[in-house]
Amino acid sequence: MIELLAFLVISAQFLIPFAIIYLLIRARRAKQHLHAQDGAISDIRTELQRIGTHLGSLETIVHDLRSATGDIARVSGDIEMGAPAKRAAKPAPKPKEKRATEIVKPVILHEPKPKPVPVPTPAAKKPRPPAEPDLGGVQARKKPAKVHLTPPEPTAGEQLVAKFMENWTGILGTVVLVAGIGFLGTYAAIRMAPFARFVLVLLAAAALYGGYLSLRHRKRWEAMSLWMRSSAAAVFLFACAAAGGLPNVGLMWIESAPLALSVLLVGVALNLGLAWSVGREGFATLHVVLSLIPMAILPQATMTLGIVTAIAVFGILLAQRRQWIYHLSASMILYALYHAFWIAEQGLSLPLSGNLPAIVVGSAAIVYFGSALTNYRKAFAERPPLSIEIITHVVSWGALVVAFVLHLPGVEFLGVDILGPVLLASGLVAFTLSGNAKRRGISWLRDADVIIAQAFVVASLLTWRQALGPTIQFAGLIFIETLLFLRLVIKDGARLAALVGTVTSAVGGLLFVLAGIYTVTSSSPEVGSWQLAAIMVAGAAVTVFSGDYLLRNHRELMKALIGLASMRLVGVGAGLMIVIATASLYEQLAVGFAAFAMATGLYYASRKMTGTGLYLGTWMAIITTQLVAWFVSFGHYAGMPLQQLAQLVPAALLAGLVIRQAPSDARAVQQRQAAIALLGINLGVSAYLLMNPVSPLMPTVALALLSLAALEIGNRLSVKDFAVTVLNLGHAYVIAAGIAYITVVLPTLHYFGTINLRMVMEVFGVGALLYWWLARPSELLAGTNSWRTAHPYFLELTIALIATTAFIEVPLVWRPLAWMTFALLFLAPALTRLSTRFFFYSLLAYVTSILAVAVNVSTAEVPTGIWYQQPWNTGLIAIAVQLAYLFIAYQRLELQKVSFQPGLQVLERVSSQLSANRAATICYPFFAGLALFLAWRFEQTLLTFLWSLEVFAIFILSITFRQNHFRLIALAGMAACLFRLVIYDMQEADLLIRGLVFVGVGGLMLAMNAVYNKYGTRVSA
Amino acid sequence: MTKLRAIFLGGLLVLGGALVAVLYMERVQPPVERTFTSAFQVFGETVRVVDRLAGRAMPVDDFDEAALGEAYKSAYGNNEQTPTDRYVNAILGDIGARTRKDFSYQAFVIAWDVPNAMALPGGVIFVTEGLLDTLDNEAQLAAVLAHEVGHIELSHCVDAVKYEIVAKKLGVLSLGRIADLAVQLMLRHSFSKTQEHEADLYAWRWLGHSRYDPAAVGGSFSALMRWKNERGASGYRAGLLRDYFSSHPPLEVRAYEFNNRAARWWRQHENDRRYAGAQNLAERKALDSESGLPDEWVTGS
Repeated sequence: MIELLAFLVISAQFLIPFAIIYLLIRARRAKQHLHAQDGAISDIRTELQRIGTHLGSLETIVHDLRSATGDIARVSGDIEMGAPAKRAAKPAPKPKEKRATEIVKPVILHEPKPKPVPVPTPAAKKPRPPAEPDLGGVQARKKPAKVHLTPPEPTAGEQLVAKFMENWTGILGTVVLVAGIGFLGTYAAIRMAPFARFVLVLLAAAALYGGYLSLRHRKRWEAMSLWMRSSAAAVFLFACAAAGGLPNVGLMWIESAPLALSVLLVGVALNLGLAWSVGREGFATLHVVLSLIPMAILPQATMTLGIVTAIAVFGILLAQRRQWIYHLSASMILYALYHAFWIAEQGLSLPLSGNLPAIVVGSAAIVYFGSALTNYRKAFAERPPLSIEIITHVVSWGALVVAFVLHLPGVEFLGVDILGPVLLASGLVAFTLSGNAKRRGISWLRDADVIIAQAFVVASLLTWRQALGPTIQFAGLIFIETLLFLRLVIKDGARLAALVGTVTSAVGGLLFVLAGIYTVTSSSPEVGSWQLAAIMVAGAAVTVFSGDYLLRNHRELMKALIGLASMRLVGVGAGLMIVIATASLYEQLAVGFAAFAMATGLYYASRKMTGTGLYLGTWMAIITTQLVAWFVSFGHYAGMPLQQLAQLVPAALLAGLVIRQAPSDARAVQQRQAAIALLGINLGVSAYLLMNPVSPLMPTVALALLSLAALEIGNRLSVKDFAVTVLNLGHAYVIAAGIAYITVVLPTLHYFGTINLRMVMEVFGVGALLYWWLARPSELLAGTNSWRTAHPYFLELTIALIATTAFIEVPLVWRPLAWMTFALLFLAPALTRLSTRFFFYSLLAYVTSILAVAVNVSTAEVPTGIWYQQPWNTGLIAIAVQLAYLFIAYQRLELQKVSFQPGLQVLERVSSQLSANRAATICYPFFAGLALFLAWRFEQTLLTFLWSLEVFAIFILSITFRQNHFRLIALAGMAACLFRLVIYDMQEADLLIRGLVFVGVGGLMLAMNAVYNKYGTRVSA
Repeated sequence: MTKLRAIFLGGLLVLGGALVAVLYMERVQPPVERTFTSAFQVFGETVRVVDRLAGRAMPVDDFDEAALGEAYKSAYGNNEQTPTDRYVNAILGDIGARTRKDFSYQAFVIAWDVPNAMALPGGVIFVTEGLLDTLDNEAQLAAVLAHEVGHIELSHCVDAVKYEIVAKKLGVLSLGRIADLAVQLMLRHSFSKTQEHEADLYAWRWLGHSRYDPAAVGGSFSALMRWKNERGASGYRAGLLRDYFSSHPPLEVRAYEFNNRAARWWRQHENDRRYAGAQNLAERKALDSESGLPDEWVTGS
């Protein structure tokens, strides 16, 4: 009795979801009803407001009419009382105008009204607020149309509720129901015998089915009835599964395994039958899924896998029959999940052993292959496929590959691993099926199957990795296979497959290149260097010919698929392969000639096969040839001239070949220019390599000579571009020689006998730079940027080298004289005619000399007694020369004429500013330098007198040059001397010196006075 | 004009060819494979000139420097002089006799086995015992001391502390030290190699007019290189930044230059004889008479 009561109570749980659904439906309807009522009330209110507005208007009109009537009555009275007619006639139009206005604007109720006349209308009794009529008027015009013509749009929340009610309530109800059964079973397990519980659950299923029977003909409850039927089937299946295979649920009453399985299969059969007959994809899928669930709960065995496979096959057949794609994908994916689950539950490590692989792979093949086959139907020829259909097809094949790859490795048949043959066979099957698809006119299926077939074949090749030899060889085979596939699909005209084939062949080529790089960089390469080179060359040849074939025969297709620009990758790939081939021979003596041969081959191929990017690839090979030649010469064969020549000669020959054989197309000039540059670099490198071991100073001279040769050759060439290239090559030689001079020659003080070799080299360098600067360009070169930009700087380079030479080679104390020599030399008319910049550099050398004198006198201590090594002696000589320069420069230094090249125009501006007062520019540095010399050279006690002498000299110069500012400076200087005389000499100097200084300074001042009196007018003038 | 150019070009080709031939015959090798330090010596000249003029513009004279030197001497010179101290100071006295600055030069020998020497303003020189053990003869020691004296005479030392001296006068010592440090950090790298070369030349010229062998200048650098090589020091490697920030030119370059100068000097003075003094150095007994030890005299032949 208690059990029955418990059963009944818990059974009531079944009603809960229905009750919830019912209550939800009721609540929704009630809400809709209330909403409708609210709308109606609102409409009524609006109507009332509109009517009120009209009433207000009517009231106004009535009021006006009454006023008019009253006026008429009064006018009538006036007439009757003898009032003048003129007075009566005037107000008459007013009411008319007013009324007309108020008709147009009937809603203005707040205007002051005339005295109220008792009118029995509500509006007259209770005046409305001013805004209300306007609002009412608007609503009155708009609202009715909106309410009556279109129903209100449901909100997002309402839509969500609707969807929930229409679709998910059934599903959730079923889930809740099953959960309720679970609870019930649990409870009943405690109270009842297993069989009784089993029967109880069956009764519940029957009750649900009864609900289905009672509701199925009521249209409103049709969906609910179907869900009840499905629920019944689910409950039935649950009971069947639990009866023999779920001991924990409490329904297990069958001990015999065959019987338990039979009962379960009955449950499964019932569900599958329902799925077969239900006619709705969702329900059918549900029952197939439900059929699979107990299989996951049961102990996993081969039989279980078989049953699941059968269920999946049933699902696939059902999908085939009804053309249900979602059902198909769900069946296939669930099977794949179960498959993985089954393997995991078995606790088996992969790959499987014994008969299991055959069973597992066989079952997988049936399902996945069957799934794939489902797509071969005519319907696809008439409509485009859905994405899910394509995905399902590809995933089916993919799952099959995965099953093969997971389970078949190590499985042998007649002593042969079967994975490779199986994959290959699958690929052939897929390819055959693609033909079927093609016949049926299903292009997407044909493309997919061709691609899948290719994947199978590649996977098959991958399984033969070990048998196919070294990595590079294997990669080569893969590459060739991808090319063959491309050829096949292009011939077949399959566009998508052709695209895939193009991409896979590119990937194949990339893998081949990567394998080559791997092999060439491997510390223990699998193949010899020559073998690798041969393979890479073969790969390059295949690549080139394939690309050429495609462009010749399928140009439009390639253009449409990947664009012709992408076809240039072919040449780049071939170039890379030749680069790798060259690199593989890096340690071979013959690498130079081999690289020459390979690059030459590619070069001629590039001339025949245009459009494949071979131009770029060829230049990659050519540059690699050069680089390898240089690196090998600097590396392995350093100091071995013959071996170096074996590398450098082929590299130079290659450059020469390109110069001679460049085709007469638009790129010929560029090619020749590049080849000329390479040839020139080869010459420079060769000079360095051959001379450096003998003496590292020799390349500097050689590079300078090469630069002169380049200048002369460039100036004689008849093609402008080539001339510019050679000229630039000459510039490069100069730069290289400059670097070599700075880093190698400069620190090398070597005497050949008593001749300083470094200085001779510097003189030679100055000569070479001067020759460059003095060179005049040919007509072709004259206007080129290279000439116009670089050539003017050769003067600066020359002067810089002269200055460096002076600094390095001339002793410190003699440098002021050296600078003065340059200052005077640069003023020579022969030079200033060549360039006005010499004026500026002359001044610069002069100022440098003045500074050098000051610094030398200040610090240049020479611990010898030799007069010509003493800085003050040489400084004095330099000052004498500076004084001479001062007079010469005053005549010749024409700073206003100085003109610099664009990059140094700041110096031109400086020159221009300095030229404003040439005398000051020349003299003031000298005055300052002399003052410092006197201060740092002589005794401080004599300094006042010496400075006074200098001041006197300046004063004389003011007369000579007729420069008034000199006179002012002289006067200021004399004032300073007097100040020092008083402040310093009066205190520091002894009496004799003091007296002499005073006498001397006084005498000088008198002399200045005398000179001024005689020649002062010249300055003033 | 074309003819002149052709002659000019011909001359250049001849000169270039002759140079190549001479270099080939002489197999001239540079001191190191390559270095930037010589270039930095040239480029550092401008900064050195500016720094020197700035130094002269400061109100710092020899009296200030001498006072600083006396302060150093009182700080370091408390210990009694050892025979080695006396030996080194005897040679230094010979060098100091021909200096312009009126300092009483004094050397201090430090008990440190790493060969080194340094100069401070005011005539203070430090020499390590390691240096005395490394050098081959007295002439080389004289070369090193002359190099350090050169730093003092050429005002390199006082220039390095000029702001400190001025600041001390003004009572803002810290500011002066900061200014000197800033110059050291920012500028000194650019011309310190130039100063070192100047000091080398000072030593070269002093030895050239002394009784000692001029080859000792290059010889001292060779001895220092030998010491480094014996301790497995890696050879010189050129680098733009490394060369810029190094305070001294590489020993290889200095040895090369002054060995070549000495070779040329001996070619020009074949009949001269100069003193080496290996035994003097070993016995710490300075060349104090005209005769010296008979075996220590070297000649051009």
